[in-house]
Amino acid sequence: MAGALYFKFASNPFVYGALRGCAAGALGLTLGNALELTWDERKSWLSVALVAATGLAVSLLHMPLLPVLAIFGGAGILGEWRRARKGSAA
Amino acid sequence: MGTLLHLLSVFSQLSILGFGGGKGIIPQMHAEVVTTYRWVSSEQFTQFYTIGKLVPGPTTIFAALIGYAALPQHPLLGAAVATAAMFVPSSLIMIGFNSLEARFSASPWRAIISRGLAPAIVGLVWSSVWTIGRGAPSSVAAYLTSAAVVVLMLRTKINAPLLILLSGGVGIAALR
Repeated sequence: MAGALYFKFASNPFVYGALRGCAAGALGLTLGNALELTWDERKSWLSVALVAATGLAVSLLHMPLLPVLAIFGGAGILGEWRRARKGSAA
Repeated sequence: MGTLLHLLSVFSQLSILGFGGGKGIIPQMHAEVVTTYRWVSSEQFTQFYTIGKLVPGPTTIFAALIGYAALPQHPLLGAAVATAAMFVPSSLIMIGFNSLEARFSASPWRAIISRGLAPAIVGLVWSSVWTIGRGAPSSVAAYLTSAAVVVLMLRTKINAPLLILLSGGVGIAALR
């Protein structure tokens, strides 16, 4: 239904303005979400580095999702495993 | 038939790779549906994402709108195929994981994998910001709207759809 309404009314200037405003709002929400999630990762330099490296690899280098998850997700899992091992040895 | 198969292939792959919620797959989805197949423009992609945030359910429901646009001769079929491809594979994986969860609930690997993947997922959310930003309006009023929403989201308990609707009001006044 949303699709049908969109294609019928998107060219109406009021609807178009509302959609552009909503898009700006959705961008703000996603940005706020990214800031919140990054704040949760601030305790480890490795986590912050992986956040930045993943963001740059996907946004600027257009790296596909599967290698991103394998490389940066894998590095994160390795880091967590080493931390857990150190924790249990101490 | 070709477009249907492409819709099926693109969205089922995204469904399988959608770790950490829908936001992580936004950049890849944009690359496929805007750059590779040109089913929608970057601006439409951002608007569909916005509509996905406004309607009940997961944001990735906007796959239906992309399917609708990709198959203008049979828009409802396109929407149905894209939606099924987006949600059926991940649902099946969830069912599988649920049965494994009971067996591995005490394993330390559960927490290690979950915490270890988190930074990459957060990085993907930043890439989503970049992707959505490319199709969002670029004007002082739009930037101020986005900034105000960030502050309101972080400092108040106003819910997300209401913030988007308020932004829509600003858009009618200043972004036509």
